[in-house]
This record gives sequence, C-alpha cells and structure tokens, in this order.
Amino acid sequence: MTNLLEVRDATKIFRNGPFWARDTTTAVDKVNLILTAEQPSITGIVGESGSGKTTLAMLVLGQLRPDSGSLIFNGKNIDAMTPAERRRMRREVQPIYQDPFASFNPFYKVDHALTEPLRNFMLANSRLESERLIHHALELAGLRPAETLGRYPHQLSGGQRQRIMVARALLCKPTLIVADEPVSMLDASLRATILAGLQTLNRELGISILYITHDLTTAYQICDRVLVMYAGSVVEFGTTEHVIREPKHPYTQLLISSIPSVKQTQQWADTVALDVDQISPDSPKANSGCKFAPRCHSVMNNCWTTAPPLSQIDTDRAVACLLY
Amino acid sequence: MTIKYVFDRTIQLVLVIFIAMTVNFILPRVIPGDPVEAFLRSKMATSGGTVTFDIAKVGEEYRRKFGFDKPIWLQYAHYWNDVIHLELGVSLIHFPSKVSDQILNALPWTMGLLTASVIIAFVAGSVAGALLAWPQTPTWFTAALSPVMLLSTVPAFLLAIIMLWVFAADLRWFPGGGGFSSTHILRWNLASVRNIMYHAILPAGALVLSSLGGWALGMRALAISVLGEDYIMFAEAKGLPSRRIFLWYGMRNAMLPQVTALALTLGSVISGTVLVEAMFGYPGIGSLLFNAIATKDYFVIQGIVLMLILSLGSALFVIDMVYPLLDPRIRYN
Amino acid sequence: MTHFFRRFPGFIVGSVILLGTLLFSVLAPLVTDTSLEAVASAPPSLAPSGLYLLGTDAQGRDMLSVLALSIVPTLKIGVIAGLVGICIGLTLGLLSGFFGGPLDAMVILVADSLMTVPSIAILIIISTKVEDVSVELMGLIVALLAWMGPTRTIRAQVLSSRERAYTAVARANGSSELAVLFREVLPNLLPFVAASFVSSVSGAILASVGLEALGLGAQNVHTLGNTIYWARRYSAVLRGQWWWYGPPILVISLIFIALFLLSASLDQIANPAMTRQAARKRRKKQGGGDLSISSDAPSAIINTDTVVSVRDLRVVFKTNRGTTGAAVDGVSFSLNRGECMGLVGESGCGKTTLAMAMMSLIRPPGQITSGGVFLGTLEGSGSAHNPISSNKRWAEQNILELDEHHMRRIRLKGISLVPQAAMNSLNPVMRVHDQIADAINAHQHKTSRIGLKTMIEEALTSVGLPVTVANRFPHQLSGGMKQRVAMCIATVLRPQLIIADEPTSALDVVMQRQVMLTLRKVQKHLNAAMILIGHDMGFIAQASDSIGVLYAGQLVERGPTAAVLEAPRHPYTHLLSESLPGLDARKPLSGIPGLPPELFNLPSGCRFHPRCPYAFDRCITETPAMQLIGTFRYVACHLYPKHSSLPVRPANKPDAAGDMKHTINFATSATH
Repeated sequence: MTNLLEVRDATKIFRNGPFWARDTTTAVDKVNLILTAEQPSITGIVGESGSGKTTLAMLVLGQLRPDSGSLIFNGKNIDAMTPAERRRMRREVQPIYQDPFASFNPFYKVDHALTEPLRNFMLANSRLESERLIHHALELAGLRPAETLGRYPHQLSGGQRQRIMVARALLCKPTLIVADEPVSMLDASLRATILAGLQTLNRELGISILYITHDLTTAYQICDRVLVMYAGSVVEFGTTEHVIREPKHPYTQLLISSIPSVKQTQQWADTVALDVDQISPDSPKANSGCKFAPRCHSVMNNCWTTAPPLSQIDTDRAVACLLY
Repeated sequence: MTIKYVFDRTIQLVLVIFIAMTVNFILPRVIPGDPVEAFLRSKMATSGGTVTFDIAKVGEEYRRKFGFDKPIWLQYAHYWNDVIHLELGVSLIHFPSKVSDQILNALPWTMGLLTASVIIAFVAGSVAGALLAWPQTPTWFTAALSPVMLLSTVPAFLLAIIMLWVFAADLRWFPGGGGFSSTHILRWNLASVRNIMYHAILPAGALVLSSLGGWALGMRALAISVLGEDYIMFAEAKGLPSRRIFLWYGMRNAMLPQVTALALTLGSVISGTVLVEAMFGYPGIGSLLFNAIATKDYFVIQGIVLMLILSLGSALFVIDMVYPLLDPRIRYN
Repeated sequence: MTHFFRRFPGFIVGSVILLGTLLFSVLAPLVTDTSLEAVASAPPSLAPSGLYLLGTDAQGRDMLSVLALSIVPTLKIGVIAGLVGICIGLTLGLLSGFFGGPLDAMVILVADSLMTVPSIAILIIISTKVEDVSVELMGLIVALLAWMGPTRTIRAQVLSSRERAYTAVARANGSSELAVLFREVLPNLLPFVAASFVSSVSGAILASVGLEALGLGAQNVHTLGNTIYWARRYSAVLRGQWWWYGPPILVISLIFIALFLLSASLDQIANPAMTRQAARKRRKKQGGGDLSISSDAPSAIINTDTVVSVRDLRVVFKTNRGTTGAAVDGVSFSLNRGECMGLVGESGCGKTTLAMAMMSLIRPPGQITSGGVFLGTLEGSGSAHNPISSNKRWAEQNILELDEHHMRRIRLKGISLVPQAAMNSLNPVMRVHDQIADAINAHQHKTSRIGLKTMIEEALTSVGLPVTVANRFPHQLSGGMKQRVAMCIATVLRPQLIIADEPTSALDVVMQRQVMLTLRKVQKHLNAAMILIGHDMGFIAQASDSIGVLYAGQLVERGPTAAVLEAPRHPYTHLLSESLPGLDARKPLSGIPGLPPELFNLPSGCRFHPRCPYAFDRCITETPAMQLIGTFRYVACHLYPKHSSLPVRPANKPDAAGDMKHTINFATSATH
C-alpha cells in the first residue's frame, strides 16, 4: 500500500547576501517523515521558531524544492511527476496559514478565495453548482454563508476568516491539509472550536492533517502522532501519548517541563536545570555534533562530535539521541 | 563595522561607476550627430564666413586627432585609459587649454556653494521637520514655516531668477551675478572672503530655500512614524522627561532614514546647483557647463559629466561609510 | 464620496489648480488672437497695459498669448515622460520584483547606476547631440531618467506582497505564476502606480524646464522653459521686465504645487497609516485628552498592606464619528504587598487599556472619564516632593489627579511597566546601560558614576543577565535577554507595583518559564505587588497568587488563583477554563460560542448574556455588580448570592437574546 506522503532525507539550505559573501542556514536537515494512506491521521510537527517546521511545511506543499533528499507523494517522486500529476498534487495538498488576515487579498471580497479554486481546478460546471459547493463548504466550517459572503476581509473577525480558509481548503477536495500554526493568532476560546473542526475533518472526511505548531498542548489534544523538531532535525517521534507521557529526548523533556499547567499541583519544576542564556540560542553554531549539546543537561563527551541519528527504539517510536 | 561591509560597498561603488561611465561613453556615440562637424560648422558660422575650409578634410584630421576614426572597442579602451589617468582631453573652443584645468579652476567655487547650501538646508530643514512633528511645538511656528514650505515647490533655478529680480535688480542689495566683483583682485585676505560671500548669498539662498521644504516634510513624516514606535511608549513609561524622549529616542532614530534620503537625492541636489550657477553666472561647474553647451565644446561637456559621476559616486561611498557610525545595527552585526 | 474629499483635501485643491491652468490655456486663445504672426506684430518690450495685459517681449509678442500657448506643451512633455516612465516602471518593477534572480539584480544595478549620474548631465549630453528637438522627443528624452523611481517603488511593493500569505493561498488555489502576478499582485499596486505617475510627471517637468532654461529645449515651440530662456537671453531680469519671466515662473510654481498636493494625497491613499496620525491630531483638537476626573470615587479603608487600589476606573474611546465606547468600565480591585494578580481575558477585553490607564498613559482618542488609582505612599520614601501628603503616615493618593510632571515621577518609581514586546521596546540606537541610566537619572538626580555603575550591575545580575550585557546594543541580544533587560529597567528603582503586560508572549515555552520565574523572584525580593496580564490560563495559574477575570471591560470574577480555577463561579471563567487544553488528559475540545462584543455595540445588561448558557431575564436588563461571595471571592453575576456555586449547565441554549453567530459547531454539522 503506497504511503500518502514520504519525506526522505529532505534538506533545505538558505543562502543570504551578495555572491561574494554568502551566509548559509540549514533550515531543514535530513528530515524523514511518513504519512500512511490507509489510516488518515493527524500528525503534529512541534518545534520552536527556528526549528525548521515552517520550512518543512513549505517543502511538503511544494512551495520550495529540497536541496537534497526527495519527496514522494502517493508513491510518485515529485521531481518525476508530469505536469498533470503535479497539478493533482497541488490540489490534493492544501494549506491553512497562521495569519487569517494576511491570507486574504485586501483588494477582493472573501468570495474570491472560494471561487478561485473551483475555477482553476474545474471542480464546478455551472455557477449554480459552484454556489452550492461554496455554501456547503462554509457550513462544514461552521459559518453562515449569508453573513460571510460578499464581505471584505477587514469586515470579518479573525475566527471567521480562519474558518473561511478551512472552507477554502475543503473545496479543493484535499487528501492532506498542512496547517501551519492555524490557531496561534486567535483567541484561546476560539482555538478549541477550530481545532475540533480539524479533528472532525479528519474523522468524518478522511483527510490527513499535518499540524504544525509550537504549542505542545494543542498538539496533544488533536494529534495521533507527534514529531519534535530542533534546529532543523527531528529529535523525537512517536504516538502522542508516549511522547508526552514518557519523553525520551532531553529537549522534549525540557519542553514539557516548561509548559505551565492549570492544575496547581504541578508546579513549574525547578529541578530541571535552568540555563541562563549566555549565548544567543537562536542560531546554534554549526558543529559536527548534536545541535542540542550546548543546552543539554545530560550531555556527554561524544555529543559534541557525533551527530546522533534518528534511531527506532520501538514500534512507532524514534529518538535522535546518543543516550539510546 | 566589518571588513565585509567595506568590501561590499566598495564593490558596489566600482560596479555602479563602471556602468555609469559606460553609459556616458555609449550615449553620445549612439545618438546621431557628429560633434566635430557641428563644431566646425558653428566655427564657420561665427566667423562670419571669412574662414572657410574643406569640412571633410579638416574634419578627418580632427577625427584622427581625437580618435573618432578608430573602431569602437578601441575607443572604449582609450576611454578607460584616459579616465584612469584623469586625462580629459582638451577644450575645443579654448584650444589648447586642457579640460581638466578648466574644471579644476571651476571646482572650488561649486564645492563651496554646494557644501554650504546642502548643509544649511539639510540641518535647518530636518530640525524644522522634527519640530513640526513634536506635539508641543507652538502653532505660530507651524504657521511661519508654511510659506517657506510653499516656496520649496519652486525649482531652485527659477527661485534664483526671482531672487535676482527682487534683490539684485530691484532692491540692489546684492550683486547680480558672478563669484566676485569684477574690480576686485582675489587674494587670501578677509576682504576677498567678504566679497566672495557677498556674491554667494543669493545663489546659496536660492538653493537653500528651494530644498528646505522638502527636507522638512520628509523629516516630519519620519518623525511621526518614529513617535508611534513601542520604544517611545516604554520611554514614557519610564518617566523620562518629554524633551529627552523626543530628542534621544525619537529624532535620533528618525535621523537614520533622513540621511539615507540625503544620499538618494544627492544627484538632483547637484543638478540644481549646476543650474543655479548657470543662472547667476557663478564661476563654477555650472557656468562652465552652460558655456560649453552654448559653444558646443564637446569635450568639456564630457569631462564635466565624468567628474560629476565620480564625485557623486564617492560622495555616496562616503555616506555609506559614515552611516555605520550613526546606526549601531549596521556597525555591529 | 464627500467623505473622500474631506479626508483628502489636497487631491481636490491640486486637481482644481491643474484644471484651472488648462482652462486658462484653452480660453485665453479665444480672447486674444494668438496665431504666431499676429503674436509677433506688436511693439516690443511694452509693460503691461490695456491692450497687452501681460506686456510684450523683446520681439513684440503678446505675453499673455505666449503664456497661454506655452502651458500645454510643457504639460505634454511631463505627461509623455510620466506615461513612459510608468510603463517601463510597471513592467520592470513587476518582473524584477516577482521573479527575482539575475534579472532583478541587473535591473537594480542599472537603476542605481543611473541614479549616480546627475540626471541633468545625461540630459544635457543627449540634448546637445540631437539637432531638431520636438516636444514629443523632449518628453522621451526626459523619460529616460524618469523610469527609475517608479521601478523601485513598484518593485518594493511587489516584493512585500510576495511575502504575504495571500499569494501562497492563490497558488494553492491553482493559479499559475502569471495569474498570481496579474490577478493578485497587480490590483494592489494601483494606488502606488498613480502616486508614481504623478511624481514622475513632476520630475519630468522639472527636468524639461531646466533643460529649456539652458537653451536645450524644443525649438520653435513656446514652452514655459523656453520663454524663460529667451528672457535671459535678452537680459530681461536686469532690465526689470518682470512681465516676461514672472508669469511663466508663477505658472510653473502653480503646476508644481498642484502636482505636489496630488502626489501627497495619493501617497496617503496608498499608505493609510499617514491619515491615522492626522486624524489623531484632529481629534486632539476636538477636545479629547483633558482629564476630567470625578473626585467622588469611594474611598476604601486604608490598609498599610494595600499597595494599590483601583476604584471604578472608566476609560472611554471616541471615534471620529462621535460614538463612544467604554473599553474599561467601572473596574475596581486592590492589591496587597507581594501579591501577584493575574489579569485574564481575551483580546479586546481591555487588559492593556487598564494597564495604560493605571500609568496614566492613555492618549486620545482614549480618555479616562472617571475613577481613581490610589497608590499607597509612605512618607520619606522618595516622595518628598509629593504635594498632597505632608505628614508621616501611610497615605494614599489618586495618581490620576496628578499633573503630568508629578505623574512622571511616579512612573517607574511607584508603578512600573514590563512591556509586551521587549523586542520593540528598547531604543535600538542606545546601549543597554545608557537606557538603564536614563531611567535612574530621571528619578534620582546627581547619582555618581560609580553609584550608577553599581546600580546597573546589581540590576542586571538580579534578572540573571551577565554584566557584559550593559555595553551591548539591543539588536545584539536574544529575545529572552531583551525581555530581561526590560524587566531590569522596570525593577531597578524598586517600584511598589509592577505591571507586566504579557511579558513572555513573544518567547518560546522554555524561555517563557525561565523569564517568568526570574520575574517572580525579583518581585518577591522587592515585596512589590504585581499585575500579570495574560491570556494563557496555565501560565497565569503558575505565576499568580490571585486572579481577576476581565470580560468586555469589566471585572467579572476575582479571587485566589487556586480557588478560582478549581471552582470558578462566573460562567465565563468556567467556559474559558474548559476551552483551554492542558497536558493532563485528552478531552473533546469546546469553545465559547459567539464572539466577544464590539466596543461600540455592547449588549445591554450583563455583557456576557448573549453567550451565557445560564442567562435569564434579569441578565438582559440589569448589569450585575461585583459582590463578595466568600472570603476574598468576588463575582459579578446574577446567579449569586442565590446559588453558592455554579449550577449544573442547562441544555444548550442557541440564539439567546442578542446576536449570536456561529451556533453550528462542528460536531453537529459534520453529518451533512
């Protein structure tokens, strides 16, 4: 059974500056990921800013080409696709972006974002059918068409705009939705609704979802499996319950212990080592060892020289750490 | 400031000058019209027909002398050779006076006028603009400044004419042209300095008044946008006195894009100066250019343009080098 | 339509002037006989008189006619150059900005190089070479240097819209690259195209008039510049023949003024940020900004442990149409020494407005209309200049009644602020120690250099920063370090109250915990009170001692953190907790139906009633007051004191009174 999506050793390097003084940043470093087709699931990609998760999303969406490695969609390598197949993939993999306001072109009414896909992918044969499809998609997203259509983006709220984006994605009849921080710009109470909506899309319509976020708690709530990224590499992978309850990688452990919990019984543990930021941690200097070594509380000598590979330690469980 | 920054800027400078000079080379040769023929014809005309010669033959001799007969790539090579040695040729009209000599004579006048008026206009304009943006500026100031701003829409050389009319012809407060009185002999003494300044007031005045408004408006816009920044709010929350916030948190930051604006408009500032000089007969590059155009002294024109390109490029380079001193984000990267 | 004209008066004035000059050039020939032969037949150099309203020039031409004839060619040159410039600029700007790569690099390089050449020089060279210049040719020549400005402007706009999400969405919608360029990017460029066009025209006329004044203009045509050239040739200035060169200069100036006004208003249309400033200034003149405090705010029992007491605070915002809305409406609470109150609420509920009001930093169009912020001060503790309290006792003082000068003393020393985005809150061109020294010097004059250095070093160490940070500039620090610097500034003068407005929201989770723990440590050390504003319940839960829940500008619940979170009394608090996920258990997510109310369209009675599952009649008509329902537990809800805790939730009530949108939630709609 072919997998929906396979990312094999994908690497993306960004170059900055004029040609006589190039600065390189490795945003994504040999990342592997597999999404199966028979069980559409919600997979979370968790990481802080600079971890490479957004770049990975862009690679999956086809907005960027990897410098090395390959992306295989439905068994076919992207580079080897015919234009028609590429077009099909473009339709089947749909994004939802972080900023609900910037996702709309201020020149047009919001209807524009909904009519374009039907037009370009030729999904409707008549004006009437296109209207019907749009109404249906809006209702699925929890909106009333009468209150939403015909408006300009600035006349609607953030939540409404994001839901229109969900409806837009649905119109394309996707098999995979890549949601890049879809709720981080929305109010806390609104997030739950949108996320629940994504869950429903997955369960009822069988759409796989790649949920990219820095917020581990929301990932915990809706994802079946979770991938933790740090500085461009995958450091841990597994089912959500396992990764959250028994984090193996020191970074994952640090992340989880830093998350404040409403339950007063669990205080922010003071036991995990507090690192004072002496150096700027945003851009770890390229060395040949583990990228997390400077901040790791269980760092060993080898960690500085050997980059740990992502090794499978259980069914559906992998860690990139020399401790294992 | 890193070596890399200096290196970057130098490379940019070289590239830009290279392209500008190439354009300077190509342009005249591309446009129809032969300077030598035109010159000879006008020579014939001005002599009232008493001097006649076979244009073709004399023309050929001139061409050979000035290298117009050689293939274009060879001319290009010679062009660069001349540029590097700053060999700008000889003036057709004032033969055999060298172009570089003429330029060197005229240059100090222009430099003096230009630097003085740019500095005055830039500083006064920026201060005025900043004050316009400050909420606590008294209204009479804004009212008093408005006619000056209006005056700035008039181009400098036209303002020059008006000032000539009002101050020179009508009121006779200032002389009607020239760099110094025709009866005065220039020496390194105070009397000469006073004489020069007396003659420089109108041209400088025209230049300053016509650009003041532009600087003021630009600075005002920058100041308004800077005053809306978060660090201004935090400075207020720190309880700092409002004058300190305005100067050290506001204007200090607004100054940076204003300096960039100076760099970008330097070219047109120079153009304005050239025209004003022409209007006043001020003995700088402007008048030199004006006369060269009238007499179609081709090499003088080309030499002046070359010099303008080089000086503008260097001025921009200098500003690029000074900028890191003002903006620590560029200095420490 | 009239609204447009009121907002952009420059546009109208500019257009009127231009049309006026055009009208003049069209009408004047009807009044006078302006064929060229007739024009040259008058006696020369006449001053203005009856027959020749603007006199004649040295060659006997009627100046009025000449003026009328010369307007159109001048404008024509400008328009031709402007059009050519815009066409080239649009094409190059679009292609260069959108496709980037070597094309872009080359275009920018060429444009920059041409800017290095003083335009007048190039134009002179060209004009000297071309023999027979016509008006159209003049326009094209000038256009050669008119394309760089529009190209750069358009390119910059294209680059910024390329980054925006809507182009990525358009691609996801199946649009081709060209379609994205023309259907998505281009329409948003129109205001910039218009603005560039006008400034190109202006620059072109400037350049052409300059060339003409030098004698390089179009031959045998009357243009404004040519007229000036001839005036110079005949020494009209020295002979005082003002009628020759005066009117052309006047007309040129009018044209430039008109073009300037047009381009300024087009710039405003393209950049709406500019108009907001103007509007704010206008509103200021209309009378906002005066503090009119009603001093009958109820006074509480003075308790030496109470650091600050907010009573009935009300902050109102006014739109330029005159409608008002209270962003903070009757908020009252008090804080004790060492207590940290978490202020929770969603965006738009007024948390930041409250913080600003407490520091008296509300600016128009906002205004504090009533209430007081009472800060407890002990004599001798730095408030020797305090005009109100003069004897040695614990007194409280309504800081909102202070004038700006005295308020400034209170800021940072009495109440300090830790801002939300420290990235932008530090002055980018000042070193860290200068920014801290600034703050110290503003409140403590005559601190010695040694004293300053010691204070700064101590302050930096207390927030966990190495002393070397003092010499750095903000851009050299990481996000977490910048936040700590802001904290350091806010605590260096040992304030009584620290207001932390979402101090860690821009940081990642790991950094957030470290910074927050540091802030708590400093607070405890100073024994100061703290208001911690946030929207993340978990974060507030871990970092605060008590909680205040804000909804639509009103405090709806207040009490100790543990108690409130374990057993919330107000329905909103309860629903809010329920909607926030945690790491304890995976449960189905639920949101709060409906939307937060708009500031200028608030529901009647209890503001939460449209979304409240417990709402009944009284809720629609009567605003509930804050009442004490237990030890240190306050709630503003009509369910109390009848009930002792939140009753069981009634069946889902869709469309309660008021407008409730989006009642369809996913779970029920997914079946069709």
